[in-house]
This record gives sequence, structure tokens and C-alpha cells, in this order.
Amino acid sequence: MAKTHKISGSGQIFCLLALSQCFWLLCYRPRMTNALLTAAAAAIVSGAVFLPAVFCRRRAAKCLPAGPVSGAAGAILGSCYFSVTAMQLLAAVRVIFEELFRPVWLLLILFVVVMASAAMGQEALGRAAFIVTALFLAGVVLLAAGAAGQCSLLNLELPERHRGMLAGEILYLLPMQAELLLLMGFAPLTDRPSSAKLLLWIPFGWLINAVILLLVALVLGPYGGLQSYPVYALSRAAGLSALSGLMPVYCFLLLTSAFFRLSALAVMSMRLAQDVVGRPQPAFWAVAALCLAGVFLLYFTGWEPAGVYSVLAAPSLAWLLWRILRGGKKRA
Amino acid sequence: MRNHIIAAAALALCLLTGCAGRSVAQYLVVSSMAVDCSSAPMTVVLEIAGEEQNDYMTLQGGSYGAIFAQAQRRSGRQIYLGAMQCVVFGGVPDGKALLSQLTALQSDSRISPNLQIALCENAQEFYSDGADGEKLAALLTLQYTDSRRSSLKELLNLFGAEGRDGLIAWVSTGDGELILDGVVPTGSSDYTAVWKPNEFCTLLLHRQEEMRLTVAENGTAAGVSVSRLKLSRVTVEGNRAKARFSAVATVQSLSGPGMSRETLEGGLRRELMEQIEELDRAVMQNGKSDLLGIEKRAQLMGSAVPEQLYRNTGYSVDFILRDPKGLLER
Repeated sequence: MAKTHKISGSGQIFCLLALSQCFWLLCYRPRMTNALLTAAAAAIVSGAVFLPAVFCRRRAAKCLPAGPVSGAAGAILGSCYFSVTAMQLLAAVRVIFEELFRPVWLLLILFVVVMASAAMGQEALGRAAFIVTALFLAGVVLLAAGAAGQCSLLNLELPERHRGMLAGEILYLLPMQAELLLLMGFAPLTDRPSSAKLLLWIPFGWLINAVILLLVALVLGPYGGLQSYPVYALSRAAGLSALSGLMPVYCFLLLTSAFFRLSALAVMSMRLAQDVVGRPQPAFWAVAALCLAGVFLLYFTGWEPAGVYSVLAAPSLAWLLWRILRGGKKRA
Repeated sequence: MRNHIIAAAALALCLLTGCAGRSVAQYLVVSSMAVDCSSAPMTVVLEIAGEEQNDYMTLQGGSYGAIFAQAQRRSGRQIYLGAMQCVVFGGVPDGKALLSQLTALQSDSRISPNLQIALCENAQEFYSDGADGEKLAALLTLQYTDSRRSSLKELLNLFGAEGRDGLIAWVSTGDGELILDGVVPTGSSDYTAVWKPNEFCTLLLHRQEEMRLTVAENGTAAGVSVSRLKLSRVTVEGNRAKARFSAVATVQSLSGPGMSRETLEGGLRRELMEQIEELDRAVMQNGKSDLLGIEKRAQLMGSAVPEQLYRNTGYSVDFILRDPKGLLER
């Protein structure tokens, strides 16, 4: 049987999208007023994402490659999401790892390794995500085990008290869901594009986030509402050591999730750029230049990631609708 | 295979950015801190970890940020707060003053949420009689994993939550030793009124593992160990709360003619109820503090909670009596 590096398993894409979906919580920036409220908002957002995901999966299985306009727009959108994700990570690393990592160096090295990983293609990335997911879950279990001893029902604040903030929370989380773009990009090159696994990443990713949010609610309680990066505070509160708690575990979870999200966005953008220019190398360098330019733009303008996500939401939705309704050439 | 190795190496490369750090000697590592809040600006004594012995630095400032910046300028080294284990406050008049200090500490993200908090009479003299951060941290934590009981996170939760109080340790030094004089309930209006909780209270709040009681009936004395004490149920009937405790009691020794299980259970229940009522009289009925979290528990159950519900609480206690040595009469 001929070996190909282009087709990945649907299970691998499931892992990739689930890991990407965990990024927003690990990097949650505003003060989390009520973790249970955030979990409820995340559930609503997951439900809102599920229906378009069904249509994305159906259409993606039937049509590739994208036309030149659609391809160019998709590549630019992917690069924009890449840039804003990178800036979100940089903002978190500056605050969280001030005494451990050199933030800008981390970002530059991460950029290089992400681009190198993206150049290896969807199959390699999917396989790496498949293997790393088990480690990721082990990290979540370790975090839960370390924090469990500090859980107290008396720390719970019922979400009813902050009901008025639910809408704002949903509007904050919804634009960050870049996984629909990734699904549209990856599903055509899976062994079974109609597989249920290409939808199951939504509840799976939500479940991981819900477990962490429940821990935040039970362990941190109202203290969590005073913190930016509440999962970081959770990792410091957990564990036996007063010095660092389980911060290495949090570091691993954050960097892993960021790495796969960034790499997936880069791969998707490169594929769409290749549909436009026709050759892989120019497409690679064009996307790399776009991503780097986006990172520099956001670095020097200082625009908040939440604001940039909101601006990207409308064109992303428009692009998805265009791909779903208009489609493209059928697969040969 | 080659691609997997490259991918794994790429991911590992990210971690190398943490390798170009500075050695510990280049940091000013703060081990603990004593804060005198009795006058403005506050006076802070920092205990700096040293190779052979610790150093102390006394500073004054209007805020923790200014004080830490002063410490950096004076020492010429970057301050490192991640290793700070405990802070002891002196001259705190009430809960509101302590809350403002804790909020100021919490806003510095370098400080651990598990930072241990204690109170004392004179913070500026705290380190003068052999006390240090290690001894204080060991005194405040029953076991290493119990650091949450007196921690910054826990106290901020207690101050921020409605209907739940905790205890802050009051320490002093004498003859080169650190002494736990008593505790101050967080809801107390007077933070200089130190209270010595009874054994029931310390067991209930997980500050000790077990409690030993002697139950004497009809010339027989039974030694009983009580453990796993917890508030198992709270119900609200009108404007009165009913709290039920549960525990496990184990017969350890028996001296005298003999005792039946029923007799011992009756005697033990009386002893425990006496301790519960003593705790209630000392703290809850006086309106000082809702140590048991009666109001919070009632809220979580969805009950309507009258004001100061905890002052009007009825108690009962259930326990499982174990007799592994077969000492009781059948």
C-alpha cells in the first residue's frame, strides 16, 4: 500500500481539536467571577459550535480544494488567529512565568518549532496530538489529584448569584472558538471524513474544561474571582510544596495546548495558501511571514486579544458560511 | 519515525528557554515576613534566606510594592517571593484591617496562595527571640498538605464569603521557642482577644487528628479516642438551625469492674455534648463567629437564612463506637 503523509486518522484530528479547545481556559485572562458560571457559558458555547460543526464536516468531506478567493481569505484568517493566539500566550507567559522563562525568547522559539512542525503536515501533527493527548489527560488528572485535598463545598458560590454575567461570558468565549476553521481545513484529508469523532471533540474538550472549572470553584472559591489566570492560581494552590505547587504541570498543559493550536492553524493556513499559489514552499513562507507580521503588529499596537477575537468573529463566520453554502470542487 | 523524533525535539526545545536563568545567589529570597500594621507607614521585617543563617531587613513603606522595591534597591538583587512561606501581622485591630492587608498581598502575583498567615503582639520583635519562618510554617500546618487552613487563599475566602468564619493563629515567642497562644475567629470584632479553643473545636476544624476522652461511669473509666469528627448535616426550621455531628469513637482502654456498650455510649454522648455547648457558648452564641459555617451550609441547601442564624442552633451528635479489643461487656 502506498504510504502517504497527507491523510490522517479521524481520531488524530479529534485529539488535535480537543487539545486546541483547552487553550482558552488555560489562558483565561479576566478575573473569573464564578467558575461554575464560566462552565455553564462554555457548555452553551459548545452547543452553539456543535451545529455549525455538523455542517462543516458534511461540506468539508465533499469539497476541496478551495477557490482562490476563499483560499486566500481562509489563509489570512488562519494567520490572524495564529497571531492573536501567540499574543495571548505571550501575555500569559509574561505574568505567569516572569521568574522562570524569558517570554519573548519563548515566543520566538515556539514560532520556529511550530512552523517546522506545520511544514511536516497534517498527518505528523495529528499523530503527535494523538500521542500527547494521553500525557495531557495524565497532567489534568495529576492537577485534580493535587488539588482534591483542598476542595470544600463551602467554597462554592452558586452561579445564580451572577446570572447577569452569563451573556457577557458567552460573548467572550464564543469568538475564541477557532476550531471550526480547523475542522473545515482538516476534515477533507482524514480517512473517514464522516466520522463522529470529528464532532465528539466538542463535548470531550468541554468535559476537560468543566473538570478544571469545577476544581477552581471548589478549591479557590471566591479567591479565584480575585485572580487573573485562575488555572495558574489553582496549580500553585495544589500540590504539597508551598513554593510552586503543580506549576510544572500547568506549564506543560499550557504549552502543549498552545503548541497544537498554533501548529494546527499554521497547517490549515498553509494548505489554503497552497490552493491559491499552487506550490507548497511559497505558501509556507507566505503564511510564516503573515503570522510573524501579525504577531509584530499586535505586539506593537498592544491590542487586547479579546478585542481582536471579536473583530475576527464576523469574517470567520462569513467564511465558514461561504464554504458551507458555496462549497468548491468535488474530490476526484 | 524521523518526523516523530523531530516533533518531540521541537516541543522539548521550547523548554530550553527556561535554562538560561540566574543562580539563586543573585536573588533576594524572602523566607517569611513580619508586618507591623499599628501605625502608618507600616514597618516590615523581611527574613532573607541565607546559606548558613538567615538575614533580616527592616523596611518602611506605604505599600508592599514600595517595600519590595526598596529591598531590591538596598540589596542590589532581584527579590524572589515565590519561596515565602508565612507572614505574621502585628497591631491588627480588626478583620477589616487584616482584609486590606491580605488583599494587598494577594494582588502581587508572585506570592503563593498557600502563604500562611498568623497574628502576634509585636511584629518588629518577632524574630528577636529565635523565631523564624520555618518554625512558624511548621507550627501553623498540622501536616504538610494541610497548609490551606491558615493560608492566604483560605482567609480571603472566609472574609469574602457570607456566613462562614475560620480561625487565625496567634503566636508569641518565649525562651527561643515559638508558642501558639490561641486563635482569633475571623469574624471577631476584637483581634486582640485571643481564645483557646477546646479539643472538640480543634478536632472539628482539622487542627488535630484525634481527641482522647475518659468516660467514667459507676467506678469504671474508659479511655476513648474520637476521630473523623465532622458536621454532617444542617437543617433549618424556622429561625433555628439544627446541626448534627458525626464521629468515630474507638475504645482504647478500660479500668474498673466493667462497662456496657450502652453505658459508654451514653457517657460519651454527654462528654461530647458538653464540649459542643462550651464551644457554642464561647463563640457562636456570643455572636462572635459562625465557625461551623451554619449560614453558608443553609444557603447552599437553598434554605432562607435569618440573620445570625448560628446564634440559635441546636446540636446533636452521632458516632460509631468501635471496640477492637473487646473490652466492653456484651
